Amino acid sequence: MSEAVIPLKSSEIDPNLKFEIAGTELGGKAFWCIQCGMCTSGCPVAEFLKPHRIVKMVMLGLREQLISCKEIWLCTTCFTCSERCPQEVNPANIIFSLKNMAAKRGIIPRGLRDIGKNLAETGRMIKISAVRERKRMKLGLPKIPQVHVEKNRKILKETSFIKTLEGAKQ
Amino acid sequence: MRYAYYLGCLIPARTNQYDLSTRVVAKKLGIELVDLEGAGCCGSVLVRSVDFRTNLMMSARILALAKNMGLDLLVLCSGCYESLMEAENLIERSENFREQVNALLKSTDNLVYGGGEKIKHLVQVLYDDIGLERLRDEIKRPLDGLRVAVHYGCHVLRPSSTLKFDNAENPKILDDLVEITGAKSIYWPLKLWCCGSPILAIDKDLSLSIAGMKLKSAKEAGADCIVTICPSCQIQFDTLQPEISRVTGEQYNMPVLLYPQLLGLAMGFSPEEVGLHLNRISAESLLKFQRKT
Repeated sequence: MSEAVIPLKSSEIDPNLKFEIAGTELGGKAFWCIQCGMCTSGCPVAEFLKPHRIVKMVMLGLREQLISCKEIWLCTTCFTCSERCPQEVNPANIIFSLKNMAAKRGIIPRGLRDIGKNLAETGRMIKISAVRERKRMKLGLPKIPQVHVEKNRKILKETSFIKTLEGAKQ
Repeated sequence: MRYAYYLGCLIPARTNQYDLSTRVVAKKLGIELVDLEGAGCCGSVLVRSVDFRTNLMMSARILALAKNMGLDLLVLCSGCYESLMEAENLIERSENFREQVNALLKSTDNLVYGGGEKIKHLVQVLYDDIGLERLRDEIKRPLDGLRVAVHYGCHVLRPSSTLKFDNAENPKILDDLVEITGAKSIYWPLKLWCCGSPILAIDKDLSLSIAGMKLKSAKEAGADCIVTICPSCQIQFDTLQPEISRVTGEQYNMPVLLYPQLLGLAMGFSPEEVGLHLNRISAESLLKFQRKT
């Protein structure tokens, strides 16, 4: 997202983007936005990511710019924007949708790819070492409940998560 | 009072003091915790960033496993709480998603999502099911005059239309629970702000600088400690506090307790029993507030 004014080419505009996003189960209605800026005023990363601008870009249909910009990944998912929006636009979920679209195109930040790999291998985001297990025992805590790794992996497979992860550019 | 007890990933991996202090407090209060076997990660907002369906399917399976035990689900992690509530909400409002969930659960566990189980965060169990009156009776060593910066964390409060935890702009559940321990919940300007943790794996310095602003706000307001109910937030403020100082160039020396640690101390448990020694920033300075027995 550049601050400079860039003339838009009609070939870069996708008028369906806003409907596509509103049509997912996450929802998010960019076309209700009145650009009041309430979302951005409460955003903890507003210096870099301005939710009202993201929503405007969705309205304009700037699919490629949005999917390739790194700012969408800076959303802290605090949901303050969605909580306060007087128009029920739900900017946070719109940003989730954009990240999901970017991921399908192979754009996933390295930190998330690593977490995804842990999930596929162990069913957990963080691997729990034998040392950790022993520390728990020393504290008198019971054994950590088992994870059905295969069943978890099946969910990751059936929802194409593993495929998306493998398609991510290294 | 029996609950299916779901720990998630972060607590057994990084914040065992949350588990430890919850178990001692729960036992004293007559809350029986039955570990939920077989459940994996809830997915959380991190998986949602890659594929929302994966996240909510993972959470739906946990709901179905709890339902299969015939128990309400008690969670400690706010990230898990938010994901489970989102999954329940989507299953209820989308027939399409419900069918997908059931098809998948049939193939993994031969289960059907029936709904009906309740998802409760630990503090909801303490506030609603045990109640402040009962808790007050259990306070043996109140921490008179301790100034606490209460940090709810985002994923119990927002989006309130789905979570229905408390008033998202002016919550009071945790403040009330903190104050029954004799402590005072102080006003601090950045109380309801995010801790920055969810972007730790994406932009570490930005994530830590957000946490730094919060620590500064708590310190300037005269807090003796921060009290939170989310393992991510605890790790962010406590475990990573030295790293935050590296980024911001400021020293905070701010102890960060998980709520059952504070409650446990006030109920008369020893610092070791509530796992205070597992916190990175020493909380020893707080013990002088404890009323002598």
